[in-house]
Amino acid sequence: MKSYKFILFILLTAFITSCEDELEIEPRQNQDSEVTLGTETGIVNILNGAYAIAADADVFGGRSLVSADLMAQTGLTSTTDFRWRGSYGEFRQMYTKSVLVDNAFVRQIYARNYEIINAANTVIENIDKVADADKRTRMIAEANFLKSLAYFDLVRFFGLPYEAGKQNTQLGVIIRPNAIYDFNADLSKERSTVEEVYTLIIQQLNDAYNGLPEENSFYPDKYAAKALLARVYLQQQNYAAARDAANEVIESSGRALSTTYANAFNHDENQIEDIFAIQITKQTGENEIVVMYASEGNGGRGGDVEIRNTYINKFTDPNDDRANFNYVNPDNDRLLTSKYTNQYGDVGIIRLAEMYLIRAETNFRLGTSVGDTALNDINLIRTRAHAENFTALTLPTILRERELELAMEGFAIHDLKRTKGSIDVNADGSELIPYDDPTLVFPIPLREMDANKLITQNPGYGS
Amino acid sequence: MRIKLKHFLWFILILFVQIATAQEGYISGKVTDKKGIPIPGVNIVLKGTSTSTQSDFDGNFKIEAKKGAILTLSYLSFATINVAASNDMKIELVETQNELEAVLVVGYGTQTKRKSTDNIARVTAKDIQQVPVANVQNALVGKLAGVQITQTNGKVDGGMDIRVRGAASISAGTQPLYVLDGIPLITSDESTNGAATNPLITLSPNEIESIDVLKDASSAAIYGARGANGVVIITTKKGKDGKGTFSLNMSQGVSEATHKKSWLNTDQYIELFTEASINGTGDAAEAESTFDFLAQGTDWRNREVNTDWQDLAFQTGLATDVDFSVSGGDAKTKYFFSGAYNNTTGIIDSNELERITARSNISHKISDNFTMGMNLSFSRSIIDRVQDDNSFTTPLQAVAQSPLSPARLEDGTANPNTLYANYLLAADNSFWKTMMRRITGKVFAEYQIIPSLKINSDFAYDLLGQTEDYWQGKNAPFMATDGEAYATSVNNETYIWSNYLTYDAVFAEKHSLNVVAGMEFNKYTRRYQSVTSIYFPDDSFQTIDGGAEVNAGEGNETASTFVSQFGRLNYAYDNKYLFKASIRRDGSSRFGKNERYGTFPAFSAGWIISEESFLKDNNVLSFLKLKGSWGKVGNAEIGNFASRQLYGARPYNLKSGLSFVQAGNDDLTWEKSTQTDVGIEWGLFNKFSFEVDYYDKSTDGLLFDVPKPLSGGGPTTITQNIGKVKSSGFEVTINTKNIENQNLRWTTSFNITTNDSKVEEMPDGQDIVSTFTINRVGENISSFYLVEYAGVDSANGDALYYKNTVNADGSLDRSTTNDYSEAKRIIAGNPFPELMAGLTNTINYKNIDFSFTFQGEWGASIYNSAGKYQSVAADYFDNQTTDQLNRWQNPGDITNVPQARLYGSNGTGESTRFLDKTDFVRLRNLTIGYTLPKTTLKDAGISSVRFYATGVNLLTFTNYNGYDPEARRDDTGIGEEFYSAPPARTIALGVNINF
Repeated sequence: MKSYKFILFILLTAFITSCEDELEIEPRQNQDSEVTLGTETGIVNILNGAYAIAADADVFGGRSLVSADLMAQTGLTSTTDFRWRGSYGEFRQMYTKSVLVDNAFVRQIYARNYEIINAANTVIENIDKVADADKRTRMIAEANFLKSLAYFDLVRFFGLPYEAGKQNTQLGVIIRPNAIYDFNADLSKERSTVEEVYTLIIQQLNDAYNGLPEENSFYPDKYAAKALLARVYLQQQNYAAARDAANEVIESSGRALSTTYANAFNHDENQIEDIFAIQITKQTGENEIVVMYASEGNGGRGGDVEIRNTYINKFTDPNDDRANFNYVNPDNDRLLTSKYTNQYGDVGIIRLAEMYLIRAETNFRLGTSVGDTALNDINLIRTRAHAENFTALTLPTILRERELELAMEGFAIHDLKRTKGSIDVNADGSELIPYDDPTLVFPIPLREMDANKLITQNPGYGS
Repeated sequence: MRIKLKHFLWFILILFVQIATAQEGYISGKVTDKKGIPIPGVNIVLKGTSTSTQSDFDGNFKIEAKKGAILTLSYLSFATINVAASNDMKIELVETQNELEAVLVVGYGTQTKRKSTDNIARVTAKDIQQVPVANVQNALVGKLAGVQITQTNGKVDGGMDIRVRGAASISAGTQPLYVLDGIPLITSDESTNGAATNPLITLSPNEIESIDVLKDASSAAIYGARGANGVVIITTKKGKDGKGTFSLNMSQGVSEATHKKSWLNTDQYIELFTEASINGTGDAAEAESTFDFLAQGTDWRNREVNTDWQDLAFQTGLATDVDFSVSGGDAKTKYFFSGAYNNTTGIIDSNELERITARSNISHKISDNFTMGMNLSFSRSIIDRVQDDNSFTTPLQAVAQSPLSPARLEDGTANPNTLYANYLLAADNSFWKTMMRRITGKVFAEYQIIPSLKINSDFAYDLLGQTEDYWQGKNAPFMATDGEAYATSVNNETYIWSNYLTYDAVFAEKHSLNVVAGMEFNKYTRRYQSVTSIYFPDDSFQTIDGGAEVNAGEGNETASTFVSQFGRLNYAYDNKYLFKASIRRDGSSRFGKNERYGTFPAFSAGWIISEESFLKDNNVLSFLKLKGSWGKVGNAEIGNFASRQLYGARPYNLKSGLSFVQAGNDDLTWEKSTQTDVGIEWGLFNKFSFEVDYYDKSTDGLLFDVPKPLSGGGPTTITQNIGKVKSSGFEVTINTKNIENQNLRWTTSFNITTNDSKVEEMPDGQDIVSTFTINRVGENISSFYLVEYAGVDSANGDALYYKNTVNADGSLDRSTTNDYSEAKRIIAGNPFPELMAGLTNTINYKNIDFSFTFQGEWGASIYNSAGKYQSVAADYFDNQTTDQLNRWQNPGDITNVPQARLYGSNGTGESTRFLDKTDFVRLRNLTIGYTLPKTTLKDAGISSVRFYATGVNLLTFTNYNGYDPEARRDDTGIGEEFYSAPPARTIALGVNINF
């Protein structure tokens, strides 16, 4: 009897001891952050991961761009340039200016941009793990570029418009100057002012410009930072700075307009006109803009955004390539843009034509001709599209030219706000939605309101 | 009476032993139940030998045995007894069904209900067999007090939600641990199409002997860190001494939806949308141009097409069941074999299940003190699935299509030009096949060291392999790559090694002691892979190899381990005073190094007052027991690496990248649930038995995915041990024998449960808000949190909402507004029932058996998250429910439906407008059977033949407006409906034959 017990005791003890080693299991698909943050490879990969977040369908993979165009539409079939026909209530709310605080697309635009910012901050704060000094400089600069891209979209969508010559003390978005590692902490914070956010963006972009190389493969180079800077200055109505930045990109970046208008789109890899594009492959990233704009045969949902004649009628020259750069979806007779027909193509973010348009507009506004005259720049764009050249310009013509050239590329609402325009709902002036109307600003997502004790909601939105 | 009978039998036994002689010869006798009704087929074994026989139709038997030798009599649902042989024996067997002598399976052992201080609900084979449902859990509905069982919705493969005594957790798992013959089963949902599958669909009800649900801490603490949500112990059938029996069951059923909704027809659609277009856009042109598109060249003005999309999505289901079993054995070897085939065609188009299962349970006594055996089962289930509820091409989303749209073109192909992708395109040009393969088995050994001490060692293995094949042809919706094939394969494996000692002894006649001590090692691994290929030559190529390009693939592995030690002590004094204590220490890889072990104790005590001398001979109060228990159990269901701060792969442009995927928490530990139970059991006249329990389970250090500000830019939630919830209520079970005589036997079983699940503490008292629900101190767990709809402004037809803003004095501003943004959300309802009841009646009259079960739930609500598309008076072109015809039209109209305004968002905000109470009572099951008179079968070698008709969900009484109070969306959400299929109402005919 005693010996039984003794043997059993020995066996059980041995068994338990050996099994307890089995409690040590490491995850196979994920890596402990201490490992990631402690190695050069980890930091390099976090930076690349930040681009991947940017490439998400929620943001620069497409929805940020689609949102900017839908927000500027009248919401009425008879007067709209682009009609929302899809079933996503989130986009329909933007189309009809009735965005709700729980709009999931708005929420994701907000969340993803902050993910980019946190990843970029993490790279900057842990850059000491990277051995090579040049590589360090470049990586910090890329991180700054990505942060700027994110903050710029955030402040434009979630804050009231920047107005030159004023104290822009209206609330912008939360600034996160440091990477956040400890999520056990209270992360509540109030928004900074629009002015503060713009100041930060410009400072970061200048840092990016200084740190980025002349050429950087499909990643942003020096001129991508400068081009984005031109866009930021333009949004601030700082025309001189915008002009000079755009001019430098045109003169020095080595980019050129593609030979035809069609060639500017549907790229698998960056082409001569691309300054910065989000890279999509079959394996990585998702081209959501194609999903929204294309027929089913081209990888879309049949054409959730349809081109209306109101837009086509804006072309003065019927032979303008851009007026005809569309197709009818045989499945449902919707007129769809040809800009997005490559399901796995890249999503263009900045292309050279925009720089010509910025230079032309700012030169015109300032009465200068830095680089070239406004007329020449506009006609350069028109010539490429086989449209009749102008002999004289007005500001409205220049702004119209932007609509013809850049439609459905994510500019509409931002241009409307900086030019202090308004949405003419019935096209007869009877109902105008002014550029600073609260309905043209996204609400701070309900999800943020619920978890952030210090934040203030935008006017016109409840919780 | 029953108690006395038992004593009487013991008395007889002792008497016979005393007068036993060595005389050889045959013993004959008759076996009856207490009422004197003969019981045929009783196994009678001469103890210690292989000599056995069975009683015949009149209960008579004859066996070669000496007088005084011990005979063991056993029969399903009757207590096994030992009696000494004598001539012309008259033996009465006592039924154990729902009776005190029933043996409960308690984990690493068994115990009689009489001496149990636990709270365990039990059903046996005869309660669940022949209910025409494809999964075991569904057969239990309404039969277990305190256990809520809901299939997510009516798809045959639908996930199950089982809550034992309400929720003990908010964001960690809420499902019980399933233990089959001592093997903790793999219950991971391996579906990748958004909707859950039920991993236990691989079990066939025909191989199940009993199901015991351990509800309180006293019983569940032996499963320690995995017991907080209750434990469901499934015991499979085993062979019994005696002649082999073969039984066969066949049934065939048809099914349809319990309820359909009413949608606009073409006439109504045109009327409502034309009106909406005028109100919303100024004229009818907008609607008419859309009608033109929807009609696709047909003449909508003359109502040429009137498609009933709902009818297309539903179909008549079929359910075929065939199963057999063989069992038998002798003193040394016992065997049970079974096989079953089930084919269920769902009520939803393209939804089907085909399952084959088989099992063999064998044990052999190698020597007097050494027994070994093996249980092994395999099953193969093929499921034709449809997309999850949130997919355009799931059949039930077809209800959103306009009745103007033809479903098919003239050539018979699906109409590709509908408002939303036509699900028929998917039905015709794609499939989603899921196959589950499961092997579950164990080898076990039991060694009797000394008569009172034995050791058990079990090695068990469970494999759930699941593959999915999703093929889309060239003409499938959203197809731009000439076809796509997606294949997944996942293997879930667990192996469990458990060893335990059991000591059983009685000292000085009055002190009985049972001690169990042991340990268990459990290792779980999961390996997953998937691959997608695109660009196919034509639709006859449907596997990965046919594609020109492999464009996506995944592969991953995970694992977890548990190392546990446990012990249990049961002590009874004089069969009156009962005491039990148990403890389990669990270590798991899921938790951080510093918090790796948890200890889970439980104590309980009981007092059988009716054994006291002052009550012993009381004929009215035939049984009385008081009991109470306290204990701690844990919940570890939070994912395998929940405490770690992690980066995961996030490549960009074919280059590797990493992103922050999980926020770490070094302090993460077990969720500990403290449970208290007090109960009283009493019996009256030996006819009525009552059990009333009060339970209270408080879960502390709740594992919670706490939402963090999105602006943190990292994971949007973090798992923390915060807050406390409490679930409490009463459980009442009443079993009565209303009539019992030679010809008629009528019994009733009734149970009712109340549940109050409240949030007690939150970090800083903060609310945690999800899409439509909130967790707030003092409120029900996951209460609906919505803007309150206030009806329609009768002056202008605007939808109104209560502002519900807080006034200076703390009261709510009950004025209304037509501006949705001005209205605040309020607590609007509970997604879980607060009262549940079940009532089962069983009547046997001569050869006819009849039983039915009613089930009811009260207090829950369902939010229709598709309401903003379906029932908003033509806000967009989705077809509308017919109640929207009651829209406001003229000033002064009093109605709850706002004015129809196309694109007007008039009343489309998420609000209580789409929330509805689900209170219901349902005739869950009804079975009527007829057993052929035995005389007609005697010569055919058949021992019994029974024909039966049975039905499930036959009648439902409810005011709920949605599809069905038990239809919830299967992709996300708590208590939401979103184009969710109602359950099936099935009627089946069948036959049981025993040889």
